[in-house]
Amino acid sequence: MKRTVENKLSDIQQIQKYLNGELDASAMHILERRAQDDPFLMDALEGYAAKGSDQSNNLSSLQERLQARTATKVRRMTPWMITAIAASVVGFAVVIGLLNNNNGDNKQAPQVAINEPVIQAVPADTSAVTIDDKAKPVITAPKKQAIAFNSNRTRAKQSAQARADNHVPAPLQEATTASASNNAPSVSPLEEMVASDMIASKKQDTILGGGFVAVNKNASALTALKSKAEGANMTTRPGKPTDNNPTALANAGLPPNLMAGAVINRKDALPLQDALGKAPAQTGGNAQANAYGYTSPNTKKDANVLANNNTLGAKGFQASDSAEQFKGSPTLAEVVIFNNAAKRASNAQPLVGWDNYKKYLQQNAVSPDGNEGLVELKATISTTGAITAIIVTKSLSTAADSKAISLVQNGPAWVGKAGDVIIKVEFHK
Amino acid sequence: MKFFNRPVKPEDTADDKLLQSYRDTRDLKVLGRLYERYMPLVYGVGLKYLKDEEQAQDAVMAIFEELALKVHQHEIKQFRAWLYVLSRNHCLMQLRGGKKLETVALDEFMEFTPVLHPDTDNREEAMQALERCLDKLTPAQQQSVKLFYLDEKCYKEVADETGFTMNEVKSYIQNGKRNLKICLEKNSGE
Repeated sequence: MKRTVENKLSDIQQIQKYLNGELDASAMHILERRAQDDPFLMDALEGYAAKGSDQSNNLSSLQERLQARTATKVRRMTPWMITAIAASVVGFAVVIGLLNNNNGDNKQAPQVAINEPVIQAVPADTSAVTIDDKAKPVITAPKKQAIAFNSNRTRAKQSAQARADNHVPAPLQEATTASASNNAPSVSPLEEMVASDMIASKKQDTILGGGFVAVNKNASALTALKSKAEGANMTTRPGKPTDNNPTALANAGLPPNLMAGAVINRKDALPLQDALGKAPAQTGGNAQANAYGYTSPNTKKDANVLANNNTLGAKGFQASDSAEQFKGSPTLAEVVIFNNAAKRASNAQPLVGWDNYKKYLQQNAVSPDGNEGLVELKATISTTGAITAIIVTKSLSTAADSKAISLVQNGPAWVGKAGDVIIKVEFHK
Repeated sequence: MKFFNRPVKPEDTADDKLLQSYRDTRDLKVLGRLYERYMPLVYGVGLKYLKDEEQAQDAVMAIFEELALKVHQHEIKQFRAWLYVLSRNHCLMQLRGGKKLETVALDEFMEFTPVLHPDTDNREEAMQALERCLDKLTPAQQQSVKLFYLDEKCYKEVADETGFTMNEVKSYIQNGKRNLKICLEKNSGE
């Protein structure tokens, strides 16, 4: 009746030996007794006995299958995890990409050239004055409620709720405050506020959210404010209210006002509705323009643009929106502050450096239509590193030209001062 | 003379541990280790019913899959016995083309250990009952059972001694044992 553990643990060996007749009588009896008590063993024994042949090969192959099966689970999970991770990474990248795309105002060093919708195929010289073309009509059309620091107080008074305060502040305090207000976003379009007629080159624009506030960082020669806006609050100007010429200002011991503002849509250069614009210019050579209240959800914070204006020694002007003043009146949408400062020397360069940029071009300049040769482009780079215009100065073929343009557009970002750069793209097969 | 005693085997506890471990972790490797021990038996069962090596191998793998699921659904007291029923049912199901016939419900799986002696105090009485019941068996069964259980001979020896074939011996012993069991149960019930 003894039954050893070994017997139990080596079922298959015993079975095998039993079937091969290698067991002695008592060992056989033990196995048979166990089989009598254990239908499992009994059935198995019968199964093996019926087959007769040696099943150890089949058994070891079964063992492999079982091991593969139990290991498969683990192996199978890995690709899924990798897939999941890859998917999340791709998703994350897409989200980041979208965010970056929407946030044209992201001031962080762009990794990719910023393309503005205006650019392509626009000759450089016209693109530079795009804003001017569109802005000018607004400035000169009083009915559109342009607000300016010009003088004409009678007009300001005509405006239903406009006030003109004539309190004269202490000297060297704020020279001018022009308040244009709008509260009802539902109202008609406004429009623009121009504090001076100075016009900046587009390259010096600073892009903010959906619209832009452009500030020239380089002050230029003194220019008188010419335009005005209905509903503007004119205050604290020494001398005659209409007096806006540099000489008069200088006589009054004040520097001239040099800034003009308008908030316009970046894409079509039309005035934005419902936007509040505020552009206070302050002393110490700094003019600060605050633009906020954009409807773009991505622009949550106030955007501040600092403009260093060395010649703008005074407090400049303040254009602010206050809701109470112009209920139901057209709204001030954008502020563009620009002047006609001289362009800076162009030394825009690729973020990655010219060498790498050339390498990039070389690697990607695979001719789309088999034509080999040189395409020369002139790209206009803004202060933000955005490519605002690309013109083909030397053409190879239509396909090659557009490929060259897209290479530049989608290529490395640009840094440095605004200006034009000549880019040569040598196409090869 | 404890014919029908089936002592608790040491690996039973090991089985339970592995089983519990699998239930806790759902780690197929653990179950695989447990199943590996029984694979030769399962394969043998598969061979017996399906009579084909390929089919038996597939059955072994299929039974493992079934096992991995059912382990969570059933309370298993004796893994070995439970696995046997599972394996046999699987093979029978295959043979019958999926028709559910004659398979044993897993939850009411058999106690295939024969009835234990009612108590050891009545050993003498039990022995007498056994003797009585043995006498009631057919001569062939009686002879085979006595040779196998009392003289501890193997099938072959029994066959040699009695002149029966191996298969006859086996079935005499099986049937004799079953009849004995029935007889003893009747006796103890009286």
